[in-house]
This record gives sequence, structure tokens and C-alpha cells, in this order.
Amino acid sequence: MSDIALTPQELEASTIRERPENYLNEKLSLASWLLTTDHKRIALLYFASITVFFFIGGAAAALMRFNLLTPDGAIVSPETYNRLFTMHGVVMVWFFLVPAVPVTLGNFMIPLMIGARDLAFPKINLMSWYLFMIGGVISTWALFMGGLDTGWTFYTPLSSAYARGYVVPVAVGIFISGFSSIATGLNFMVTIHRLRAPGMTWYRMPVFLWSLYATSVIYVLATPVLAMTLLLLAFETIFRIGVFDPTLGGDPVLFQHLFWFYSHPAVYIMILPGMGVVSEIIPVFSRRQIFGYKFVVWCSVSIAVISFFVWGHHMFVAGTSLYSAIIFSLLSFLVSIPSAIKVFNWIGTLHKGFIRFDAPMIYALGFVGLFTMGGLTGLFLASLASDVALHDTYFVVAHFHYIMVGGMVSAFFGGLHYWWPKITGRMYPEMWGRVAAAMIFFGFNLTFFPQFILGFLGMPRRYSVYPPEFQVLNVLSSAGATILAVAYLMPLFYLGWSLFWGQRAPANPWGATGLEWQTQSPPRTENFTSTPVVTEAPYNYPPPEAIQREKVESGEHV
Amino acid sequence: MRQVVRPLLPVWLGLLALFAVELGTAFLPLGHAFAGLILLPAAAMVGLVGFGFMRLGRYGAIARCFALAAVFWLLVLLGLGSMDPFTRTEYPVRVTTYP
Repeated sequence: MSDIALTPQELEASTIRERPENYLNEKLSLASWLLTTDHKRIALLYFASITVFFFIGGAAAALMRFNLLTPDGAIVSPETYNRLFTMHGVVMVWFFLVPAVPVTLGNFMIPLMIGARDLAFPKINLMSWYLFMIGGVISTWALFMGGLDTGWTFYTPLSSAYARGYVVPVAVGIFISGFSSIATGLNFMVTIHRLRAPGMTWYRMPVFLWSLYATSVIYVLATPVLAMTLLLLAFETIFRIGVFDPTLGGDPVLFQHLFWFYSHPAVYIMILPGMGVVSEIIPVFSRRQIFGYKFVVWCSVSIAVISFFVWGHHMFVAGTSLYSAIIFSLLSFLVSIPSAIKVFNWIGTLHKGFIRFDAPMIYALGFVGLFTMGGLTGLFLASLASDVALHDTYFVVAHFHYIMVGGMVSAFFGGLHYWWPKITGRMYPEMWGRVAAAMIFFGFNLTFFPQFILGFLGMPRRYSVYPPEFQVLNVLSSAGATILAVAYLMPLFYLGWSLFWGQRAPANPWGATGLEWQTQSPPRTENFTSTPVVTEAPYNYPPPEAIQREKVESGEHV
Repeated sequence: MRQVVRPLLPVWLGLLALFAVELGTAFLPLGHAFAGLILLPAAAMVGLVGFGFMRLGRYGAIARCFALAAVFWLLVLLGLGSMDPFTRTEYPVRVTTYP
């Protein structure tokens, strides 16, 4: 190689240096990334980490679906199957779904959306990533060394007296990553309270920030209970203090109470940020103010509060009292009210809007449909009588995947496409974005809709074999999973491609309101050249009549 | 940094000491009549967190709101959570009796 010729890395570095100074090209060393306190770089560190976890969890799911192609189990033993679904659940819940939107899109966008230079505690933000990684690596190591067969719920006595496998290391990993969640939640709350730009009152904040605020409250209030539960489990094992073990005077159902006191609100940790993302996308691509702004934001807060009152519906058949089950059933129905209000508000925003079907909007509309399906089927599980029949069947699996995967993952991809130009300074290929969004919607429904029928017909979850009459629906589900896997891989390629060859993004490619669009793409390290001043409400798009008049005047077909 | 950490150190050590006491009481044969005693170290911990760590006496309304929210959430956990054991008629196993 001649002295003059540049290596591909040097060529790329020189291309990056040609851009205006921004957070990506200010420093290029590895140390500058690993020791950064810039919220945007930390968001990218998180993004790389959760992508790895997503594909680990996805690989376990792919193996499970492959195994279920034949009634006798195609490739793995029942014992291995148990460890596969545990790995899938643990990795996906704690190392992808719970952190995904807040730590990536939230971390990146909160300071930009409130007009601040960074989060309130930048060093704690970096520490949170390290805690997350330490927890993630410990748990994943244990899962790959042989894992455990308890499912992601760690129910006692399966995780205590009858524990097989690496229960303790996995629990320790989750325990450590919990501190990352608490620190992140605290950081977000303090930032939103203390660092808003002049003029940004609470009711001028974008809905995404309200959603993240509500999520942070859950992070801070619920995660310690999980940590406490795992500690009690450890103390019982080490010191023989009777907490959950009936032979020591404990109550195994107490574990379920404490576990679900965290884990049911955790469902809303997963979905609330997704709702926030969708509430950002729909007004932009409908050119409409969000319908009922105050209802939408207070519904986020209501969902966060009510989420703590409903955990008992996971335990209707666990031996809890009928009295308590009736109360929890009633309370569980309550959470559907603010959720439904949000759905109606999104539809109200679309009404009479000038709708553009760009990729983020397709993801957002997919979210609305899939979340509605997931939410409505949740009512069957909140109802005592039907839950007794449907509990632990594939109906439950389909229901929560409609919320967590159909809903939250669609919203995550929607938000990723929507803010991609801001994050990277590059446009993604729009056609491929639309194809991937449509494929995810189709593949998802083909995977999980048959599971509603399977559950209704009585097929229990967590079994590696099944009666032959269930094979057609299982094969359909596995076929859908193949499409879904391809669709999830596609963004990895075309977004990766756009990093190098995508069209340069302007500051505001979507013509959106919001402070994040008023700075360059990608933003400079300090976000804004001067502190912005907010003078109007969010989503202040011109009324439909004005847009129509403008289009008529410009000769555009209406 | 040192100015922030130094006043918190005794609070943290106090919490650890109370935690050790709490753990130790689990092994004491207190019986039903004195079972409530194990709540004392827990109450002291709440006081330490509230006034030693959160410094509720010094800071404004938001800190107090969050402290109240924590108490409220604890009441939700204990209130709704105890509804089941208090009204359960069929235990899956024999209830262990205290001496």
C-alpha cells in the first residue's frame, strides 16, 4: 500500500470530518466513546448493546419456532426447550424491551426536546450504561453456559428448592441492571423538572417527554421491589429465612405478588414510551395538532399509576383468594380506559389530516392496530371466568406479544426511522423502510394471530410437543416468524447502508415542530448554539383549511 | 463530590446497621405478641432515608411529594398485597405455627 493511499477507515474518517462539527466527528477514538458523558453518544452505546441482546433473544425464539414445526419437537429436547424460552424471555424483557426506547431514543432526544445541553447527571448516565452492560453480560454468560428452566418469571419453588441451572448468576445480572433502570429514571425525572428551556411549560412539552416521565416514575418506584424480591430469594437460599419456602414457614405465592408488583408495571415501562413515540409521529405525518393533548398526557400518567393496582390478575389460578381476585379483576379493567382514550385520540388526530405514508407513519399505524388487538384481548385475561380457561395457554402468549412486540417494537422502529436523520445526519432509503414496516406488520400477524386460536383451543404454553391437530396453526406461526425475522434484519442492512451512502439529512426533513428539529443534523455536542426559547404549544401545525388553500394556490392536486 | 458524599456516608452506614438488626430479628423467637417489633428497625430506616438522605426538612415541595408518593406506593403494595393472605381460605400447605 502506498503512503498516500487511505485505508477504508481513514477514508471514512475523512468523510466524517468534512461534515460540520457535530457529536459524531468531534472525537473519534474508542476511549472518547467509552468514557463519553454526552447523552447522544451514550444513547448510541445503548443502541448497539440492545441490538445485540435483541438478536440473541430473537435467535432463541427462532429455535423455538423451528422446534414447534412438528408435534414431536423438531430439534431440541424438552429440557433444552425450557432453557430456550427462559433465555428468550429473560433477554428480551430485561435487556431489550424494558430499556429499549427510554435509553436509546429517550436518552438521545430528551435534552434536545427540552432545549438542554445534556441530561441532569451525565456521569450517572454513563454509569447506567456500564451497570446495564455488566448485568447483561453476567446474565447472558449464565444463559449461554447452560441457562435455567424457570421461565423469565423465576417462580418459586422452581427457582429455589427445585432450582436447576444458573438461577443465581442470571438473577444477579438482572439485579445489577435494575440499578441502571433506577438511575436512568431518576436522571430523566430530574432533567425534565430542572432543565427545560425558557418558555417550555409542562403543557408545552411534547407527549414523548410526558410518556418518558411516566415511565421514569415506574422505573424508580417499581424496580426496587424486584431487587428486594431477588434479595429475599437469595437470603432464603443462603440464610434459610422462611420467606417463600413453605417448609420454612414462607408462602410461595408471596413471590408472585412481589414479582408482579414490579413486572406488571414493567409492561407499561415497555409500552408507555412506545405510545409517546407514536404520539410524536402521527401529528407530523398527518399535519394535525394532536387531538386532546391534555387527555393524552394525563392518560400516560394515569396508566403509570393504575399499573401498580392490577398485578393480581396474573395470579387468578395461583391459589389467591376469590375476594382478592375479584378486586384485581375490577382494577385491571380500569387500565383499559386511559389506553382506549389514547387510541381514540390518535384516530382523532388522523381525522381530516393530510396523511403521508412514510415509513415512520406505517410503523405508527401498525402500532395502533396491533396495540388495540393486544389491549382488547387483555380484557379476556382480566376477566376472572375467561382467564381461568385461558391462563397459561397460547392466548396469553399472543396477547402479550401483540402489546410488547407488535406494539412496542413497532413503535421503536417507527421512532428509529423518524429520528434517524437527526441521529445520524443521513436519510434512510424510504422504499426499503416502507417494505420493512409492511413486512413486520404482516409477519407479526401471521406469527401471533394463529396463537390466539391455539390458546383458545387449549394448547398450553411452554411445551415443546403438542397433539398433531395443532400442527397447521403452529406451522403458520413458524412461517410468520420467518417473515418477521427477515423483516427485523432488513433495517440492520439498509440503515447501516445509509450511514455511509445515505443522502445527507437537513435539520428538519419532516417539517416537524419541536426543538430537536431546530438544530443541525446530526446535532453538535452541546446540542444548540444558544438556549432556545419556547413560545408556542407543541404540534402547532397550520389548520387543515390553510394547508388545503396553500395546496390549491400552488396548483397541487388535493 | 466529596462534599456531597461525606454527609451521606453515616446515613448509608446507619441503614446497613439497621438492616443487620432487621436480619438478626428474623432469628429471634419473638412469638406472635412481639412480631410487630421487627417493624421498628424498618421504621427507623424510613426516617433515615427521609431526613438523612432526602433531607425533607430542608428541600421543597417536590421532594416531599416524592416521599409521599413512596409511602403511598408502599401502602398500595402492602394493602392490596395483604388482601389475598388475609382472605385466603385454602392454603396449599400447612401454615407454620409460631412457638
